[in-house]
Amino acid sequence: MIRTATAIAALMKAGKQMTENNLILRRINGDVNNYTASLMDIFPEKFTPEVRSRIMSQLGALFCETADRYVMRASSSVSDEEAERIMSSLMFKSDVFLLAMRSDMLAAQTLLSADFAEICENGGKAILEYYNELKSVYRVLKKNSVMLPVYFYRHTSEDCFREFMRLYDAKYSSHLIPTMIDYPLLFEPACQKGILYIREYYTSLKLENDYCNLFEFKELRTLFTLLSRQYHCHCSDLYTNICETVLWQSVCAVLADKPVFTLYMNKADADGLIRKLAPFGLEQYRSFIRDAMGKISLSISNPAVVAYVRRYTDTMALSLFERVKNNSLPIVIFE
Amino acid sequence: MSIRFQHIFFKGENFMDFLQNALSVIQQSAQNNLTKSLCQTNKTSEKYGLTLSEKDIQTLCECRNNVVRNEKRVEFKSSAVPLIIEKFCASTYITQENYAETIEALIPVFFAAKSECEGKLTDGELIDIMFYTFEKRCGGDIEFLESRVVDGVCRAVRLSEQYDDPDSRDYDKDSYSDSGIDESGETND
Repeated sequence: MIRTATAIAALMKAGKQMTENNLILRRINGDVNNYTASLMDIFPEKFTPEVRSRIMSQLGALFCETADRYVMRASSSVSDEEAERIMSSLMFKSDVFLLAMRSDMLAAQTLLSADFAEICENGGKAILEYYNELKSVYRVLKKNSVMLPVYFYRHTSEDCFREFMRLYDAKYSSHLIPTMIDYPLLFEPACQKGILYIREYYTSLKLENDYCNLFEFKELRTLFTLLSRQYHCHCSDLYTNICETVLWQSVCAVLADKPVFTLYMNKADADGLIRKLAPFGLEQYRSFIRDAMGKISLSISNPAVVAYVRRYTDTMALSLFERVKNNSLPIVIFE
Repeated sequence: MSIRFQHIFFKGENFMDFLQNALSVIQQSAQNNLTKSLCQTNKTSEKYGLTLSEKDIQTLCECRNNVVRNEKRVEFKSSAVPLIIEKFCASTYITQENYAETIEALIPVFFAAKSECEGKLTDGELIDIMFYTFEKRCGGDIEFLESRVVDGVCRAVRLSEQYDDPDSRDYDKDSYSDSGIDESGETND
């Protein structure tokens, strides 16, 4: 039967806690970009044609009511673009609520037992909570921003966020992202829609900033000045993920037996590292990188930052393995 | 309706099919309601000596379905067709002989203008403009009405956009009133 308000509030609270540790959506088997619908494919035995028909009929009625409010009850029709937008927004609200449960089974049970309008209403409330929560994420982001003059980074951290907050329509276009984010993260957010994308994006960016801020700003500035020389461009034109560059540099420094939290690597360090790693296989690379990240992690107080950078281990191991074979480490030489 | 939707709700169904299915129950009920509503308009139109036969009603329902599909619109509540009838049955140019065919010709004009105005006019406002133009400017000529209303609505929408933009408030009042709407947004009849 329909969940009580308390149960829903508890579920939402559980969902809210995912903010940093969430990066979360990975634990869910359904398609996070179309979750409600994918639940029906995951549990075909639960969602019989009769159940689907009931949900569809509830959604149809909800669509009519929402469209009527959209036109302020003054028109009897909308264009199919508007219909698509309104319907996608409703489906996204449902996705937000069901994803907050962090369990496919629980989400499917809710979809089976609750009224679809109630699910969407709760999804709408969750969106508003996330929207307000984003403001505090932004406040932290502003404080821990890396003060490098990289245009894409600065534009995304400041202008895009403000634009999103100003233009986001949680009622009728909740699935849309009314801003152009063009700074690449270490990991692309799992959900590519609306506030879920923005929330994961800026939460990840905050963690990336936290990692970068472990290093001396002077070294960071030197690193990116040298990197821009390498690419024959101005530092502001660099189209690269700052954290990825810093992560490579810092892990390689540890692997080259340099002190933890230095970004300084000269030619001799790089050559020595290649000679050191050359005899080993991919699995050992993983182990070396895990150990290096472990050493760095000892000084990181926020476990979410540790978990975030550790996700990069496999990608880094594979890439480092290839690069060592090709005798070209993806690091900047400080000379 | 165009197939532009990537979302899959059920295997093998695209999002628009799903939307159509979700709406089909509502649409079916709306269709039944439309038939009833059209029958009920006879009560109003009888005062003007006009009635729709069952066959006329069926034709109008089919016309509405085709037009809504062609204009790529989704009707989500009781149709605007009865409103058109109730307004136009007072027209001095409509007689019992041309009643059903005039209404049938007005339906596409209404939906075309509705699409043109991008939701900036309500059903009632648009029907008022159509009626005013039909009576005062077109002499009951539907083809003329079609071009006047659609053009007029486009112009009104453009002007309203200019009006919304504080940098471009240089609209021509004559052309504005020519669309059948005065500056306050009221129709001129």
